[in-house]
Amino acid sequence: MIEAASVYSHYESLIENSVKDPETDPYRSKYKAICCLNGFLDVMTTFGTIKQGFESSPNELHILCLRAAVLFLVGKLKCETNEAGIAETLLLESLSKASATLDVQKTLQLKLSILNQLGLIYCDLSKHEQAEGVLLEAISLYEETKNMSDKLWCVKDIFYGKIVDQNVSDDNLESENTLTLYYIAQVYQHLGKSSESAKYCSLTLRKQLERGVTDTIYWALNCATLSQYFASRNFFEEARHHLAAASWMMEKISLEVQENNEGLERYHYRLADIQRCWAKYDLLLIDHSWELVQETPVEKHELHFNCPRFPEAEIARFEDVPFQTARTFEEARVIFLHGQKMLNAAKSYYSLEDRATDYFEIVQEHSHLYRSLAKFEVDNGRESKMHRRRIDMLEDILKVMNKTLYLNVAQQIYFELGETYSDLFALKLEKVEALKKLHDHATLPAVVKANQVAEKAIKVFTEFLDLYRDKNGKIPESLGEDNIRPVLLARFYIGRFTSKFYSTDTKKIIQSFRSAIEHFEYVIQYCANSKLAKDLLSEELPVCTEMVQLLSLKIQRIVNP
Amino acid sequence: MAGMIITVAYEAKGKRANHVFDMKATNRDVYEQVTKPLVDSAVSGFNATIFAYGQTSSGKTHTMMGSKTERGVLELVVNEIFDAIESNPDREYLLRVSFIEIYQEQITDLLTGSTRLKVSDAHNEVVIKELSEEMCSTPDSVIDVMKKGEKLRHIACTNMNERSSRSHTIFRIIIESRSRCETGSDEIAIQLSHLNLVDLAGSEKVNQTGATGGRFKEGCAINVSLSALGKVIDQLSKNERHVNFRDNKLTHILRNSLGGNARTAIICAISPASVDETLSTLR
Repeated sequence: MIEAASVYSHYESLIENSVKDPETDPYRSKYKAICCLNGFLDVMTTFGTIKQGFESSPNELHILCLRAAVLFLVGKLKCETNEAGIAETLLLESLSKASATLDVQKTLQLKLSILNQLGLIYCDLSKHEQAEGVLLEAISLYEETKNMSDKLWCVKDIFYGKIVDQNVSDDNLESENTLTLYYIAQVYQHLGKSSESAKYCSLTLRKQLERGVTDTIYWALNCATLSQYFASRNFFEEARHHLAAASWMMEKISLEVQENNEGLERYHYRLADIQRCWAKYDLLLIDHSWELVQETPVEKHELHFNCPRFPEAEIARFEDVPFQTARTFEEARVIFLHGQKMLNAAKSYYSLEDRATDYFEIVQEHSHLYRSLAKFEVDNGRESKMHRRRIDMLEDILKVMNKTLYLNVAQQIYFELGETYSDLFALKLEKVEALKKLHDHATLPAVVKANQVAEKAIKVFTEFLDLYRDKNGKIPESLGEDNIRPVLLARFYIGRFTSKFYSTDTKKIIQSFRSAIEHFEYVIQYCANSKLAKDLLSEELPVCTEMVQLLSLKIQRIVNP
Repeated sequence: MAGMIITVAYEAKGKRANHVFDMKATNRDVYEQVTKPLVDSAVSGFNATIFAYGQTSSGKTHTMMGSKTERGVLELVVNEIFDAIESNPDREYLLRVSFIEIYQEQITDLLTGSTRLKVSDAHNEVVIKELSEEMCSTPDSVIDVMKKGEKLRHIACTNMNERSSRSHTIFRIIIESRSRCETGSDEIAIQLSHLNLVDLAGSEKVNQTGATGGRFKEGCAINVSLSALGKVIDQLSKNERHVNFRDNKLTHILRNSLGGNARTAIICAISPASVDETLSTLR
């Protein structure tokens, strides 16, 4: 007679040894395990009974249960040795036998394991809907355990004929459930159902929290990363909650991290990343708020579920920024200040000295926060101040940046700086118009200011274009796909500013107009030769053509009044 | 960057592969065709750089460092240098070696363990402040230095999963030489050149290998390890973010060797499952 328990312990030790199998024969131990288990099945068939140790007469149902367990283990091994087809058959047989025992207490965990394993197989075979099916079954099966008072057996217990260690068995149940949640999150990703996937990622994180998190920093980072999914779909309450959970965890572990030097570096690194995630949240919230205020048609995303909160009450402490969209400047400013605080904190890790590239990115993110907030500001003067603030911080980093080595970053910063001057210029023009309406004779200083801004803008965009020049100082005839729009836009902007340059000297005006025409023609010409460029500049191109006509007309009128 | 680009097994979109090595090629084959000409240049006074670039599991460390059964590129390079030195008896040579690791734009001296070294631009030369150099007079001593550095690096890597696959190392051999023939003259021209061996960080996309290093078949299989939860979540929250290869300190330091008269070879190691990656490597 073979003792069932010894079969299981033999199986366990073979699995342990399988990691040491040589590269040339990697499944050696697993094949042995399959043999061992199949042998046991044969014994059960031949002799019709098994020795269970101290149990006197194991009934038929228990043997059935044992068969189911063996079939499961063999199926799992077949899966791991690349025989998915056979594995599926065995697992389905195992499942039906387990159900036939009608003994929930002994077979529930086994069935969970089988369903999880089937989920893996179906995914391997690209049968994602079927995978979803079995995993959902596993989830509802697990839900049933909440109402049960019976202690459930794990697979090992079946072989031993009793619960060997209650803690181990209980832990196994929770562990299987965690895997179910994790697997189904991935299945939904493959099915393209991102919100279901996000839900299950969140549930997995929640489950990890309940069971005790081993890698706390990783857990916090995952929460923060997941929040970005929610925020980008405008689910700000969920996003905020996940970010708060991340911050809560980081604070919780901060003391133990101080003592352990090795983890300190990683802690600060990830803390800075979480801070940046918060700033991203703030930016997206302000932007979405503006969309709603403008009544821009917004893509409505459906969140098909209520995302359950993490059980820790303490997390609420970190939800000190609104999740509701802002309707006024004051409300937007609250969110802005939070974002600014987060970015400044992140700079202590991502400092200019040590991590320049990230530092530059953070400054850009800061500039974007201002840009988004500025839209809410109604007062011309105050809004101008915000754009000046952006200009200052962008110019500051350009001063210290080596533009050859940080070319990509320089391109972005220059362009943004140019656009900022453009925003500022629009405000200056507004002011001039407003003063004209009042027949205020103080228009001249305002006009001078507008000119200054225009000049600066032209200078910046020109320096931007210089970044594209080759060794001979020429901008290549054919620009790469990524470069077409920025370069042509830069010329377009330069043309625009040049055309708006104010002067009382007619000669200068004609000169400006002619120069502007040149820039617009460059764009027109380039688009004529490149369909791609034409598509990319579909909005600006007609404006170029119009401007050329308009300016030519104006020149004529000045020359021949 | 001037120089030769060597690709393994893939030709795409008009990029010509100068040399193609299949899986049966040995390190020796790679060496003979690719790196030997560079070493000859270096000994003659020109700067040169050899890059190994590819995914973590593609075999590039095997190519550079070798294994029990096959000598790595480094060993072949070092032997070649000393052979060249011996065949030039009318010149005196001095060899110095330095070894650094770059991780997240921070530079660590792998010979002393000092971290956060600073880089400065001086007279058109890029200098790392307080970087230690060791004199080497035999091939074995050079290999020993690299082993010593690798050991130090390994210690740092075990603390952080990503470090070994996300950091770059530069092993620099500085070859100084002068003619023996001058008699008592004070002005003897000294020739100085660098040979850099660069092991670039793995280029795997975030959504590919799990933290355990196992293969995650894209589009099909489920990753069974919870340690890859981060990758799953990352995939969800990606908008237009993409992984950038942007390590500016690296190009900064190699500037002398990458410009003008320097010759460069890049060895791209590719494993069969990663054709997409290869395209991005070639770009």
